[in-house]
Amino acid sequence: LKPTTPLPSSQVIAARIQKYVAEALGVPPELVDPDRDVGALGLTSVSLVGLLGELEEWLDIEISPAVLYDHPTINKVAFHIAEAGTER
Amino acid sequence: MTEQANHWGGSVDGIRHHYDIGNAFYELWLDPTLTYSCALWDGPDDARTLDEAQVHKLAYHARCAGARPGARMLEVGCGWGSMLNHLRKNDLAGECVGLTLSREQASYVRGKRWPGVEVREESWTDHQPGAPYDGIVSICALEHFASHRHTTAEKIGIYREFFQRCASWLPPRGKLSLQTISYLDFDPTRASTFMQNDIFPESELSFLHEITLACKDWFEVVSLRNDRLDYVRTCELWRGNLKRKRKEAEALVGAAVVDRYLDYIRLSSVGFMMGKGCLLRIEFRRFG
Repeated sequence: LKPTTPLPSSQVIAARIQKYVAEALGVPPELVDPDRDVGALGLTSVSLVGLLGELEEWLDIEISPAVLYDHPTINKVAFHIAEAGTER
Repeated sequence: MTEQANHWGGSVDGIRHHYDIGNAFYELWLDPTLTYSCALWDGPDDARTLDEAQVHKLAYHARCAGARPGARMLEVGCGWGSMLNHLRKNDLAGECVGLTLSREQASYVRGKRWPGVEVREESWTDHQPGAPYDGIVSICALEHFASHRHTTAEKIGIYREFFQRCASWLPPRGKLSLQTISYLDFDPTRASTFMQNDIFPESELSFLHEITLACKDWFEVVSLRNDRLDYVRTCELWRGNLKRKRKEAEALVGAAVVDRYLDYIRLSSVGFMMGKGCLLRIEFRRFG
């Protein structure tokens, strides 16, 4: 789905994801490496479902989990979302 | 048939809990053939629609099971009959028998009055064919054969029973095509109670090694695919359909059930993406 409004920058999106992951893991955001594979960060499936839901609601777009497979780090996925603005 | 009488091989109560919620509900978000299992794409650039990818999957399993004009084919867990109808209308079988434990599914298939198609509301554990089959297909039924209360040894014993019976119904070198969701990088003791209790009660997934161990006395594995990313794509298309049809769905089953399905489909999709679960398509050939 096309976003109805312009999306934030990839840096802003990455910071939001980093904050979510930090809260889910109970660690300070600066300890979450945005260039590490999301799968290696220790998130549960339920946490990832929550993250996708939060991003979809915030950005008003649909994001398939496949995006995290193709763009597996916080920085890469944030860049992709900001760039594409829409997902399959 | 009661849960007591059929405690393995597929629980009647467990199956009906999920599949007998109402055909009209599933018609809203599945493809027109009501194929409720992972579709097949030839890679991420394959532009097939969900409908086309489901037919592609049916054709794949028909080929792996050795379907051909005049063949007598069995499907263990026939759902709403998409494979039976595919075999019939493409002249890939002379006779097709489908087994299901779902009353709604059996009634739906019977209502179609497809020539050459027989549906039986019975478990494979009770099935006694009048004549041998030339090929067998089973798509996403194995998940229901054991429950999470079974030990690993018991689970493998149930799968062994399944393979032994399939072998006894096939001629030497006869083919079985199986599709199933399996655990991959996952500890089943940490499985979600939401999935085990609310979505698929009385069900449990296999590991690939359990399947290969269970079949080894009767079947060789001819081919094996893990198409977990196809399931991410299938789930997301189903979820999109259900979200678009939300109002009609709520009128049929209520908002709480719709939310539960949206959550379970998304959780499944994420699990496949993370590699917690995989989607196996296995082609077996009976020893000669």
